[in-house]
Amino acid sequence: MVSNLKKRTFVLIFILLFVLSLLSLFNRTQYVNAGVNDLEYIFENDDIFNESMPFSNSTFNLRDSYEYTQEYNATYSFTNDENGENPSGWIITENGNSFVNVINEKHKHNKVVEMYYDSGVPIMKNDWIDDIMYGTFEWWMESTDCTNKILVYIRHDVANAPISLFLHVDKWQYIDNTGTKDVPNVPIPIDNEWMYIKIHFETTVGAYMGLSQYKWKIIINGIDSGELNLRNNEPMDEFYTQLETDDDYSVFYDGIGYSWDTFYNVNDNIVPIIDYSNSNQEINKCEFAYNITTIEPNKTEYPTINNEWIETDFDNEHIKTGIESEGEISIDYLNDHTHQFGIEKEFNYNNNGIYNVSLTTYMANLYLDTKGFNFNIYTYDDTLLVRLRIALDNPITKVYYYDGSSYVYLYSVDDGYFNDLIFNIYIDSFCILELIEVSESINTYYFPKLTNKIGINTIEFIGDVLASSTMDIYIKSIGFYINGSSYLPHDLSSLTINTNIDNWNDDIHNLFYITANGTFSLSVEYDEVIEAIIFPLTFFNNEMKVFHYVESEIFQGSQPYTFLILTNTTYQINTIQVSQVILTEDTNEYFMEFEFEGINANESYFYVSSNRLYFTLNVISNDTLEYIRANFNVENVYSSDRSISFHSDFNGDSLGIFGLDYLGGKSRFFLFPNYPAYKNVILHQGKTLDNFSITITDNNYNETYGISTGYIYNIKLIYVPDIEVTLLTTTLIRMLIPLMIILIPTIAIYIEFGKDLVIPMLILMSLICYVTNLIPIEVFFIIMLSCGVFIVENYRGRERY
Amino acid sequence: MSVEYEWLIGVGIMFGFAFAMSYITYRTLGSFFAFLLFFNSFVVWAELLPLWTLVVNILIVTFMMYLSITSKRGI
Repeated sequence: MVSNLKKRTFVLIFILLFVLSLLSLFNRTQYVNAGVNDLEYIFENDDIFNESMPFSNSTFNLRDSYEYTQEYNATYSFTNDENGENPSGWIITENGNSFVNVINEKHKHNKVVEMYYDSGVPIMKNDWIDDIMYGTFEWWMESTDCTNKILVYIRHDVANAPISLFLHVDKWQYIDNTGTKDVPNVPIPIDNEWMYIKIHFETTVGAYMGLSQYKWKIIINGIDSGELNLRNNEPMDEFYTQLETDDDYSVFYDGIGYSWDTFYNVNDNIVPIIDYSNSNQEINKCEFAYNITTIEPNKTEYPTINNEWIETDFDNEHIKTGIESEGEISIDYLNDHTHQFGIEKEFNYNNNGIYNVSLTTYMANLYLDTKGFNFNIYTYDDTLLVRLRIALDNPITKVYYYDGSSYVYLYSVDDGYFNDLIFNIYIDSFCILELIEVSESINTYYFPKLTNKIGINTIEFIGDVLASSTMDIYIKSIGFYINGSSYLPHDLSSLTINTNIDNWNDDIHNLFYITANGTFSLSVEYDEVIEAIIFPLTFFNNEMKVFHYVESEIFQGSQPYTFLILTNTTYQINTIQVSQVILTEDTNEYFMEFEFEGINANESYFYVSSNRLYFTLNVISNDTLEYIRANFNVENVYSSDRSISFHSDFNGDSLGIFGLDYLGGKSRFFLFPNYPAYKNVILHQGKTLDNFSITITDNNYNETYGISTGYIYNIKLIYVPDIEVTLLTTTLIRMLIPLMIILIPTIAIYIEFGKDLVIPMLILMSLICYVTNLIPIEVFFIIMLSCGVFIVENYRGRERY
Repeated sequence: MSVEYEWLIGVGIMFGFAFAMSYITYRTLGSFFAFLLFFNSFVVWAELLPLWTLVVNILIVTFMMYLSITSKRGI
């Protein structure tokens, strides 16, 4: 008995010593000689969102911008001629001290010809190969002094040129078969300003450009002189020009185009050549258009369009507006009132430059009464620059421009209803209106500006009703584009939405869309606290990016069709500003990307609360892969001597997978345990960690589970010089603690009471460890199985003995 | 010690504890395998050994139980 007791005691002591020696052999704490570096994800924001609702249908089309060069495509653009030399292909006569030379630039036209009068007549002429019976001759011209004479002949012989044109004493004159006359209708020339001159002529019966035989016309800055008589009826083969007044003055020529030039088309030289090579989304090359929306549908008041637009002359009783579909407003004009409803936008753009302004409308008018609207553009000091009048006479849409005293008819769109109709106005020295219907260009028209003042301050849409019944106009977009300017004010490259939100509620997140075809930045201002998490989602690319927004930091996204979720618990969101900037490098060294597959992103998502990354997964489909995934792009973290650790708590309805992706290495996956756990995963040594991910998915394709939740926190990258040993220590400690709890009491009971109580003691201590979560159910089950073997063994042993 | 050899520790723990416990208590082959299964569950849980070792162990133990029940002799 004593020797048995000694033997047993010895064995017990041996076991304890063995265990202690194991512990002492690997006696390093987890973090001795370790450091957390390069990565530590702390989820700081405390906003929780539970559902989403769209608060705005505004989409902001930040498009690729391109720059107009100062080159004009023409038969003669002088691009390759040397500065200071005569233009090639032209016969030049330089009398006295006059000259005809190519110069580098004049008023945003590159490479132009300067004719200078000084003590002699300068002459420039170009002989055509053949006699031209009809055609168009068009060019740009500018004079330093329009009181001094410029002669332009288009002729066959020296005498009696069929087209004899003069610019003299601030007016245009011509000579026909009856004598010298003023050219009717055309605008008064202005010193030091480019004029665009177009001459159509017809000496046959072909009715070129609608001309009768032996007629010509001149169109200056879009103003048509009407038919004029040729001086004689000969075909022409030469363009000739000279300066005559004995005074120091210069006349400049650029972009001379002949319609009979096979490489030239009429109107090619109106707009400068566009440089498509540089399409970076730089702030000074930004274009944007935006759709006008209202926030609250079916109002009986005028729409508050983001507080950026101001209403004029509104009659509450007789105008009803509302949202008919996304991104649009409709204006219903009711019953027999003449009144106006308008919206305007101020830009405060004071720079000179070429710009386009566009208006997109969709008209759905079922009645025959005459109504219409004006589209007005004002310069920097609110001088009227352009006015288009669109008169609606169902089904015909008639377009006019305002010349300062009356409306001049331009065009009728026969079927302008129930289609998107775009009025695109290009504004330079004069205006070019391009009408686009259903994405196809209908036609292009030219008309003068009402003023030569620069800049744009206000764009305005004013509708009016002249008679009874209802008219519906959907204003789909108003755009303002700057091209070729070297500076774009910040407010033009950004779009500010004043939300005036009444319907932000606590504990919900709000979804709105930013469509950005390039790089943009986003900032959000709250009433009091400038702090939010913004989750941009790119549903079309099935990605979601998360950018952590702290205080006034600006976030940047770079995907089109980006949707945003703004989280808000207690604060009123006032302003959301989107502006276009260049995405600089190294701004997002580590960032999270979210993926979705097969699930509704509004019902399954990640969110942050109490420093934890929570997830909600709503599994609703059978036989379908459904998951949400958070990808952590860590970018080239060297994996040797490193592990990654985290805490997690998943419930059992979903499957959590922790994935590690290595550059040039095999990916590894671990399952999240379905209980609160801490996990420290050694990285694959000698590799480069590129990305790790947390995937939450349906753990059974064939069932729907509804909503499952869980969270992860304290993701850290740990550096330990001897990481394998540290891992071993961790796992050993985790295993040995419950093992000791089970074995030591069992051995003690065995020593005291013999082997009859070994099995019950094993069972009891195992149960205690399972209930206290020291061991998982799988281990507990195996323990029970082994106890069953003991029972069988014990039974058989008794039988044998 | 390299990570590649951690399974040795797992095997050592498993067999060492199993032998020790079996020796202390029942001192039979059956109890040895039962304790082997017992400790195998812990070692697999600690990821020192792969899961298939547990499966093999269960199969062995099950087979031995079958033999024990059918042979009337015990193991």
